[in-house]
Amino acid sequence: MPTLREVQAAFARGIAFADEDEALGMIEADGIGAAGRLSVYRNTYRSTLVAALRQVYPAVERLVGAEFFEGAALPYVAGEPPGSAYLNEYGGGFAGFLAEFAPAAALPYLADVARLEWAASQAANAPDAPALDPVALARLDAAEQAEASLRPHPSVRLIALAYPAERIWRAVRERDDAALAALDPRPDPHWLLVQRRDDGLGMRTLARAEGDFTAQLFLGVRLGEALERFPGAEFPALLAEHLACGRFAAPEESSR
Amino acid sequence: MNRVLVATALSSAIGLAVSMQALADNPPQVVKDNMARAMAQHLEKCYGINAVAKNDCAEGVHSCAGQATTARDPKSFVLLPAGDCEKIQGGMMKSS
Repeated sequence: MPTLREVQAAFARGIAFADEDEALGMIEADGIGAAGRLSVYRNTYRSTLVAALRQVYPAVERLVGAEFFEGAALPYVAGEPPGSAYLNEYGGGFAGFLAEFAPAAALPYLADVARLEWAASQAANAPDAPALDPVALARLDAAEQAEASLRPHPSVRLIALAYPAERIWRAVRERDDAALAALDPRPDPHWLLVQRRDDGLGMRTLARAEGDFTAQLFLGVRLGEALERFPGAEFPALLAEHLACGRFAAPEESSR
Repeated sequence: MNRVLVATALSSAIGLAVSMQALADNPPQVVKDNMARAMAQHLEKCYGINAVAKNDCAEGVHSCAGQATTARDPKSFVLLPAGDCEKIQGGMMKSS
């Protein structure tokens, strides 16, 4: 007699990995065969995860059509079971999967659109947290300012893109066929900063060096050191914009 | 950049950030642009996750009855995406 834990593990393997021999031996056929019973759960599992992907990646779906999307989503689901019951966290690897997905090879920008949608979903679902008030930094002396090491606000995502994914995404979302037709989908390496704001989702395109600089700030490189590495006049201005737009998190011990 | 210049650039950046924030009612153009972008791009989250994860056969892509018979066949799909991408691909052919 298997323990409940063994039954559950066999059931999970039968559903998530279609490794069903053990589970089938534990299922009583009654009207519907054991395999048919298990497949009801497996189909629900798969279609639930495909539906979760559809919600995170609507522009990808619209770009390729519902059938192609499902044809890509099902093998992804088969290879990547969710790590959490919170399905807003499911699907982070889909962009990487699409990049390697041979049938989508004709659409080199597809993975970048998926990266953008994942960043947007993560930013939208991020926990609330106070932003760093630039006034707190202004109170420090110059040496302390140079030594300050900041963290990105949880609702901010910075992604490196090879294609003009934001323009594609926007045209697809707005069903703007003229904009789509006019799009030049050639590679255009840049960074995109995605931020949830009180009034919606903000996107800020950053040139490569600007994105590199921002990525260093987000990794906690000290402000003085980051500005030494990036000597151009645009970088202090960009830092000011990030600070003014609340793109850094307030320190944990902050009383704000 | 030497350390003095860095310190100067840094403190003016922080000062600029403070004044940009203070000018919230009449922000500089760069902030206005960002706000306009943000306004233009509301993200809609259509359904809560409870609806997605609802363990209801009919809730998924197919009905149970329909799917049970094909569960072991990988769903076939068209090899060429059919959708808006074709419109972009047109642009791609022009540029290459």
